[in-house]
Amino acid sequence: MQAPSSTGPTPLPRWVPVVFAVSGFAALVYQVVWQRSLFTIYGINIESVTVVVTAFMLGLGFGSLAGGALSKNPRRSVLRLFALVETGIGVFGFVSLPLFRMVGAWTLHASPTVTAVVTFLLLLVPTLLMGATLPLLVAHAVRVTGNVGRSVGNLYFVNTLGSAIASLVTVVVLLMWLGQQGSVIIAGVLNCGAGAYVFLRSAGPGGAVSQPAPEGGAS
Amino acid sequence: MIALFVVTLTGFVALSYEILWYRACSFASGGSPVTFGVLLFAYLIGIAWGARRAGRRCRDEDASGDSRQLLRLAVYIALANLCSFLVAPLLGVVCTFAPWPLAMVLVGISAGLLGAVLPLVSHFAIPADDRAGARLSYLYLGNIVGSAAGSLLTGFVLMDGLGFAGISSLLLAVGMLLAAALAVASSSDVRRFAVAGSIVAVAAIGIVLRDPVHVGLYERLKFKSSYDGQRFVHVVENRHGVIAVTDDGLVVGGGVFDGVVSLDLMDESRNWIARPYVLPAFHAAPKEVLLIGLSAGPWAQVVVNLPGVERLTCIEINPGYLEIIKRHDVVSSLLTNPKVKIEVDDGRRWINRHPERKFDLIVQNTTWYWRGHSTHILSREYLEMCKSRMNPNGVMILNATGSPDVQKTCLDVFDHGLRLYNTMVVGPDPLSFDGDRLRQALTTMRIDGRRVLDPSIPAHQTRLEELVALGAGTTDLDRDRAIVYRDVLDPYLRGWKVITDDNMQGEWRALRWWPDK
Repeated sequence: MQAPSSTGPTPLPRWVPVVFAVSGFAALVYQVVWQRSLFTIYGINIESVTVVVTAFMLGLGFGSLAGGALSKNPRRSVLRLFALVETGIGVFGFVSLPLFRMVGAWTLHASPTVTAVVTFLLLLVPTLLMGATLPLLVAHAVRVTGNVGRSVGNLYFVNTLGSAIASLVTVVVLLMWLGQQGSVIIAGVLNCGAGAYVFLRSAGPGGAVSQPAPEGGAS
Repeated sequence: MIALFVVTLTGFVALSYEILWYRACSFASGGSPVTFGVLLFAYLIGIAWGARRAGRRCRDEDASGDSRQLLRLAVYIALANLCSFLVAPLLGVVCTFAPWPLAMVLVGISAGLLGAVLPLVSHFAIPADDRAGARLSYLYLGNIVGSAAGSLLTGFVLMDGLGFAGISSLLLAVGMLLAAALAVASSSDVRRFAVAGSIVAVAAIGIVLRDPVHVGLYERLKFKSSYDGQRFVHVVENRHGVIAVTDDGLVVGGGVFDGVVSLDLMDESRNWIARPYVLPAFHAAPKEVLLIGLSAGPWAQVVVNLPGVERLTCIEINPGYLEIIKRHDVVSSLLTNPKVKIEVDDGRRWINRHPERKFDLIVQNTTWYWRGHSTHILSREYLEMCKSRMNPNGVMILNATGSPDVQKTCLDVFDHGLRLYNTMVVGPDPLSFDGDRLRQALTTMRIDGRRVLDPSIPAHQTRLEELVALGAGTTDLDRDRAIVYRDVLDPYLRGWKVITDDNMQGEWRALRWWPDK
């Protein structure tokens, strides 16, 4: 068990929340653009809307489970996993729209059930990765600070703040001026940049495994 | 298990409220494409703020298992639900004196209280050890499963069975009962029963007053500063959207003008119904006709009675319009006319899935070009698809709703075209305006047994000749009830943009602070 020192809890390095805010920003850009793209392929009736939204959320949920499972091993560097996950999201982002169109053409005459399953599978890979990010970083934060509520609250805060800003920026700037493909390229660059930065930081002294807070405090 | 139950149920309630708020905001904005972004911004800012505040309150490094935390949680959840319940009615009030986005402050506050739940529950339920990330993932999954259930149950089922006020009060009941149960379960002193009782009492008052609280909501959202106690005479709420009708036949679909249920060719001031009547001038006998967007039916009623029409296939995404049609005598025969086949589907998807069907005439009285997702049925890709479904000499008429971008896109896809009022008449083959054929068609045409124009009546004869004279065209691009031929349009449209699925040009045009014409 790691716990904070008697002199007070160890703060998280400032770059962690910044990176997570960037991650939240990119995720929301994808959500808005992918929803639009999939609606164009499968229709904008309520059935399609529900399938896309539900698939997105379930992917995030199961991704959270996967991230939680990966974070259990204290010897594993959750930061490096996080870097890998971010890069994976970015790579998928770059190819996402052509992939959606290709699959959409294949499943044009499929039944609603098949369409729902295909939509779910299409969104599964990136949303699993997105969902995994919060537990991974929370695991890192708890190892450093020893406080669950504050770790969850703060990381949830910055990630959601990034998403909130993206929700406005996507509709009033990105889609308006760059279109769908341009918007996901921006998001992909942000993901890959975040992944590369975290990987470099984790490769530094003590970065391979998250540094626990010093022993000695209340737990 | 308590923690998992709490975050799942609050996820359900939070997303259900978001669906309701989106419906209200969308009705207020007329379906502007920024609605989702603005609402989500406020919602997520609120969640983030709530999470931040809750995180700061978690001063004890490890409070797992401390059931006193439940009382605090109960109060948060109760406050969050009460605020959420009041957001939509207050949005209606705000709309009567200020722009609707101002009400997003209320959304942010409510979402902030809801957003505090996950960190508070985590702090209560998760020990600060190496398994914190894993345990958090269970709660996060529960929260998301609850949200997904909200999307499915509220968006798909409740929206069809209950109105806005009904769903809102149901959510209030669920959220407040959860809060009351948490208060009772907390191990603090006798105050817990007082807190639980107060929460139940507030919920009961809200449920009893749900109708008075929500009365006039859609009217306020629609009429805004000109709201003066007006009431829609008919409102259809279902999972596809909201359609309302005023006492003088104005149809409001999703918060914007969606036509007037009138076929009166002698007085078209409110709906420019002459546009479908003029179609015989462009096509001698359109046997197979496709109509995208049935709406309240006036265009379909005109088109199916045009000379030569053998089959009219209507695609409408919202079945609620069938209820509106049933209530209006001038269009109700559409529902029993053997020539008419109505399919409830997304128009673009239907065309995509029926490559075998070819049409002499495709009719699309499109909604406003600036509305969210209008690109879906205005883009170059969509029009190319329509073009491939046309018979030789086929004609497409599409309402451009005043957008030069839409006009440009039509003329980019089709070799031949003109502007009739605010609609585009286009086709792959040369188009000509046959005035004699139009005269013949309008003097013989009947709808439900009644003649459209009777040439023995001088006023009707004058009107007939006005319509035939449209063929002369005009070079005055500002004249709204005229035909503008392509040679006049092309120079005017130079510099405007072709709408594509990717650029969604039309939707953003009205929002740009830096026009790029």
